[in-house]
Amino acid sequence: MTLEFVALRRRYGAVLALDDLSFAVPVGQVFGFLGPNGAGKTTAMRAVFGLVDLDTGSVRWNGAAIGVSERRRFGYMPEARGLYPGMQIQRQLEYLCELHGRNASDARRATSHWLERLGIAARAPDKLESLSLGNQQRVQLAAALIHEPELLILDEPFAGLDPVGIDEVTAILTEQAREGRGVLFSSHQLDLVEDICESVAIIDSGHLVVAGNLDELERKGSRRLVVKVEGDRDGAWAAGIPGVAISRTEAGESRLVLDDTVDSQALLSQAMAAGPVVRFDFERRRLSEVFREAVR
Amino acid sequence: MKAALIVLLGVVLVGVRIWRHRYARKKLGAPDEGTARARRRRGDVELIARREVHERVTSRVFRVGTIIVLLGVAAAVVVPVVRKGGTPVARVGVVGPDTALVRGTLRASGEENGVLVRIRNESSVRAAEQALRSGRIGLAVVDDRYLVVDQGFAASDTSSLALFAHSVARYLGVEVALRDAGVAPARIGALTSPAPLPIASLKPARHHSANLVTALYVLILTYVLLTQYGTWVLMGVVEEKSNRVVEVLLSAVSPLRLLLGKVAGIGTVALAQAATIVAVALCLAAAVGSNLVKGTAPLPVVVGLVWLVLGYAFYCWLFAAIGSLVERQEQVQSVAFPVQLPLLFGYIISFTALGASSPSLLNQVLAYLPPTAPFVMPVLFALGQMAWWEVVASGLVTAAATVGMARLAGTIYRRAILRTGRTVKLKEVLRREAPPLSA
Repeated sequence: MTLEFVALRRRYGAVLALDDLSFAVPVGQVFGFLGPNGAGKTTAMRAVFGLVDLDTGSVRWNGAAIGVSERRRFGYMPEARGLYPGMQIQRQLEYLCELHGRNASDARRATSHWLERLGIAARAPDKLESLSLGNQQRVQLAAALIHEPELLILDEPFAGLDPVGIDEVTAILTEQAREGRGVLFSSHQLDLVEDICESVAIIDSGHLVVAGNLDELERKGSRRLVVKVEGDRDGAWAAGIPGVAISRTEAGESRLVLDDTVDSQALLSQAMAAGPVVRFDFERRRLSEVFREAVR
Repeated sequence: MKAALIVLLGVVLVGVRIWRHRYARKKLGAPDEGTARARRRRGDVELIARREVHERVTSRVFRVGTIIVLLGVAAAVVVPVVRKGGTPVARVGVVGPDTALVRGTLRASGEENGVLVRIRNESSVRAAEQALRSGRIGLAVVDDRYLVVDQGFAASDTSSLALFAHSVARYLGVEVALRDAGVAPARIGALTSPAPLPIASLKPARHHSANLVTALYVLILTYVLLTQYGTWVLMGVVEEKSNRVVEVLLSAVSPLRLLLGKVAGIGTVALAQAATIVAVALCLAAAVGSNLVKGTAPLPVVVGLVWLVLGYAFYCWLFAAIGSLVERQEQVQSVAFPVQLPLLFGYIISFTALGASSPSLLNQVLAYLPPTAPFVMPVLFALGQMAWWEVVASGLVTAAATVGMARLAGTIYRRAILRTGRTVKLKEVLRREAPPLSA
């Protein structure tokens, strides 16, 4: 099962919110959706639920256009959080579950399960507005999960959460992916995305700039080498070697960027000739670097 | 016979197999997709409507508000009756011979003016004057010749005593004159109270006061309720936009079905509340003998209620659409005013129809235009100025316009409901050109 964004295009007056945006989200893994503010992430996520009139393109689920019955099997947590403040939590979740096509007894069972799981079962008869903001966030997450969706679309699910809340949401998203569901979420917290996602898509000004397996993305590009030679705190030994650029020197360690012509073994010999080598380590690119390069 | 039994057995076997198959699918949680979809399509609107009904009926504001309105209605019905204090009583003192002629005249005049007459004999004019001054009697008849009251009547006085006194004076004058002319007392009654002549007419009566009263009640009720319940819909949409729950809802149901459930739920509560108010008013009026129930004609009432429903169906979409343009309560007035104008126009123009003997061309046209038809058409029908088929034709026009209005409202709602931060301009929504407020 796959969610596909196929050539989405949407213009609002002079603003091109989505510009021929295409990428695929496989199920069974956590997928990060990244981009600077205003890149079009929310518009693209809304398009999954038909909340945006697309000029051209379509969003497809398992190769077919998404209709009302498919959307009911998806879970959505919009960026603008909101439920009924004056409605009882239990009634509210049951209502949303039934609205997604579940019957009343399933809705009751699922509500009890998620309230228990999120540690707010005792507050079930209370009105939402009586809860702390953290607990309101938990209810909002439960609203997206309550009907056991095949696909979860979460817009900034970590925004405003404390570290405990972040751990809870991380655990739930990972668990949902392991159960074979699709999980797509947007975030600006790149370290977090790096920790929990297997794949990402990065968009800028409405179009895709990078997409793929995170591991592969971090390995792509020029090789990065960290070398520490005792007695050479500035990495002077590497200066002037063809195809080698010193990107940064910190605490006696030099970060080198090698082009394709450089033989790493020859380089090691040159380092050893300069003094005892205590670190000689290839380094992967961080997601933040991938992101910055992509949206530069 | 044998063949029939075999066929019957075959049918039963096939039926049992189909039933077992469906039952097994149901148990496995794999309902027939078509049936499930149909159930869901019915179910989501019903669910939304049920939530609206539940949240409104259980809210303290609604319950207290309804109780206050019912108390107000009860006071409006009962207080005039209590203040009126039943049938007025005229105490009359008779000086001189207490003849059957005098008594008969006093009673007849009392009946004519809705006054209960109490007669007592006074020994002299002086005693009668004393009784008048003390208030023991209100009117004295002296020797069949003249009447005395304590305070003279002004020309414009329409009090029950004044009307009664003038009536007694007029009839007694005629009767005494007839008696003095030698007419036998037995004939005087027949001469002064003859059977009225019949009035023939070339055309049946256009309307009578009963229909006029009904039309007035229906008109006022329609205006008050449409304004009130339209505002409920508007506030309900604004509430869902301002607390941002609408995006979660729209991920599961289409905008049109969400709106349909909302207006159906609010409409159910609204009509139930309206029916309760009307029922309480009518029952109370009947119980205390108020003249509120006198003069209401059943058919115009039914037509009025049908138009109330049609009017709600038309206007609720309009209120919902404009509600999606704003997200704060203080912005509501500015967008609600343009929608309230046609309501007000229809209400005022219908008042002009109440006083006219025949409908003006303007009213005839307005009776077919959906924004004004819910006011003008029931009034013209109650006054007998529109035929039933014209009511049906206008109803069909309004129903068709309601479908168009619902589609337009659904589009406006879908494009505007997720735009937050400022009031969305209708022009931007219709042209699809407003930039996204969040991307």
